[in-house]
Amino acid sequence: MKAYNSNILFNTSVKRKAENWLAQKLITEEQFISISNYYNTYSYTPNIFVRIGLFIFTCFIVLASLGMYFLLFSSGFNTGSGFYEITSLLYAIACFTALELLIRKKQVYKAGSDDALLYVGLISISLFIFSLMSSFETDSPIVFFSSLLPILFAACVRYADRLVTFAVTVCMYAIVFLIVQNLCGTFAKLIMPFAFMAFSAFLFFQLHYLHRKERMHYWHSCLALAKFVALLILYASGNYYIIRESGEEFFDLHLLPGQDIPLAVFFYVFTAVVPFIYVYLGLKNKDKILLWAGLLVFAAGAITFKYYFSMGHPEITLTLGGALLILIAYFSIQYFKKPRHGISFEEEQDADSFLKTNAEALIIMEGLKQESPAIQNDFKFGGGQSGGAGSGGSF
Amino acid sequence: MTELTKIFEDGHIDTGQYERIRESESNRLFSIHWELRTILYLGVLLLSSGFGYLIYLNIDTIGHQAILLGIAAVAALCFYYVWNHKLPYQNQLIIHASPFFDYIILLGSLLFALFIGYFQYQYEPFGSHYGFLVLIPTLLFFYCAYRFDHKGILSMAITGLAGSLGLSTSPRQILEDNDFSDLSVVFTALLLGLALAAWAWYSDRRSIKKHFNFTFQNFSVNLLSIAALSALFGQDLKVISLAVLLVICLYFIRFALQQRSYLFFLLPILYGYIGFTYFVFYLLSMTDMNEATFFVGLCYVIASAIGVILLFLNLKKIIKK
Repeated sequence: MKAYNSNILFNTSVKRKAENWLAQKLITEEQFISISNYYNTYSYTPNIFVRIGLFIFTCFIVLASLGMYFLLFSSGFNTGSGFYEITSLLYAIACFTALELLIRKKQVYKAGSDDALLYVGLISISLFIFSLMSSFETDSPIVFFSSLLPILFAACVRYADRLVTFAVTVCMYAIVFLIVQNLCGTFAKLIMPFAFMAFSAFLFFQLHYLHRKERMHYWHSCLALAKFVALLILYASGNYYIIRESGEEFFDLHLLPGQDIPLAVFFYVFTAVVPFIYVYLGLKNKDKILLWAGLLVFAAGAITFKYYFSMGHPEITLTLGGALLILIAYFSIQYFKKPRHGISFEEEQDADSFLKTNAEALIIMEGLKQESPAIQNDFKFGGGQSGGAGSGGSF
Repeated sequence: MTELTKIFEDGHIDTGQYERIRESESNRLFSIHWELRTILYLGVLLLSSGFGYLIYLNIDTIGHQAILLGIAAVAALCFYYVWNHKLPYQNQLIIHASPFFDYIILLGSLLFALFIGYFQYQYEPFGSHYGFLVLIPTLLFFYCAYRFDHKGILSMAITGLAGSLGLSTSPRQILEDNDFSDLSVVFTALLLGLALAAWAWYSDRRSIKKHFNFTFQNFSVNLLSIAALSALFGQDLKVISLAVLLVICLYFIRFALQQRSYLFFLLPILYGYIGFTYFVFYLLSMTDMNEATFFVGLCYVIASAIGVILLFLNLKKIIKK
């Protein structure tokens, strides 16, 4: 079911935790090195910039081979029936075969090339569905989304990719939207916000439940992303601006001056209160996903109110808003300088900040690892700020 | 099974350590360091752009001098605070005790630039020599960046320096605003890029603020490569432009290998690849275009992309040398 070996991925996560513990001086350097050497990880997970490069150039190859295919097999643009269906299907099969071979033979994991093949393969499948539908002369979006959803979901389960997870979430929301629109007819515009809220809340709690399970380790990053999306859509489905504008866009809601949308007060309160709830719950449960979603929707809520209750002085809003943000940050920093309620302004001593300051030393160590284990034992890289000279090394 | 129990069961740590790590994991503080810093940064940006807008709207009214005075007072307060809380200069990284220090100096610098801009608009002390106008805040920015160790202000300073030479360096505008069909613009960009790279090289050797090198090199590689690429696309001197571009790319690839920096490896390869591919297709377009040339072009793309991928895959081996 899983394309990547979850034991190996767990080993990667063991190593990452070990880096944290090393940064906090909970384990010694010797222990860290013995841990790094004991657990095998995927041999090829490159730096983000190498990943971008591999992604771009793999796309070049894939597209150029498509061009070559067209050059060889199509006579101009006048192609016979079934040409696009067969092409897209063949193309998808080719991409996934290459992807599986790459993972198995080359032991790559999130290396750019595998991402590119996965995305191009999935796009080909959606084109296949699309051209199949047009050859049957249907253009019903619900058929398209519901035949795409199982494929995307399967890909998400197998490859645990975050962009695919995002596509799955979007697909689900599209289906919910279309079902409500078709079933409820003229009432759709009244029901839609609540259907979206209910679905988002349901989705969030399901994902939250799964996210805490140890055995779901393979999909942790996917679940986190889907939770984040569910939170944002939960807020968006009750945001006054979105309700009002989407009402005009999708449901022929034409408001005369002085009129307001139904249940306007409810949506105003929702727009204003939910960001505070998110931020509060995020801080209380020490949940970064809730906190970030809260900060984002806080900005969205502020802009919404600004949009409808503008005094016509953007310069004063900007100045006061800036001053307000500075004051909020100032008092929060002063308040949390000493840890309170388990929350602190102190920068976390984790691998990320550790890597930022010690990147060069760690990269050098990586380079030395296979050749001479003896050298690393003498290698000192715990020197706190002195590593600042290595800036840029991590980029 | 958690990561901790795994390393415990595999015998990498003893029971005491196991308990200590479990204790520390469960008592772990929730850090909102970067969230608060981001809010602070947004606040500074909003405040300074709000002030800018305020002046712009009130420029001919009675109140504008009061607003200007207010801005000058806030800027002066910022610099006063910074001057009183500064640490002695050193060539290494300076970490200021207060988390607000960096943001106060940033606010002061932004407001100072605003003040100069207004001053020029109202009294035109430099006439139409806008280069001088940009140069004054630029000098101050360079001073502040080095004296108080602020990478953000350093970026503003380099942008200002490019601006006083008539160039735009922001990623969005580097192509839009610069008229690279004018050969003198290309030369200016090349010279500035070279100067930045040279300064980065010199300060690296003399250990002057080594952590600034990333910023200098980043501006330099983008400016140089884009100038050379624009010359390649827009001018008739294709071969010379391509040669210049390849020399630039080789320099930065060498630099990247020395610094073990992946970004400076990716960027020159991308720029170089774009230039080289353009040149190949330029040559192909000189032949009589038919399906065969198209086929050759596609073969080139596939073969060259495979080549670059192999280069990336063997990067670790190359870097180790």
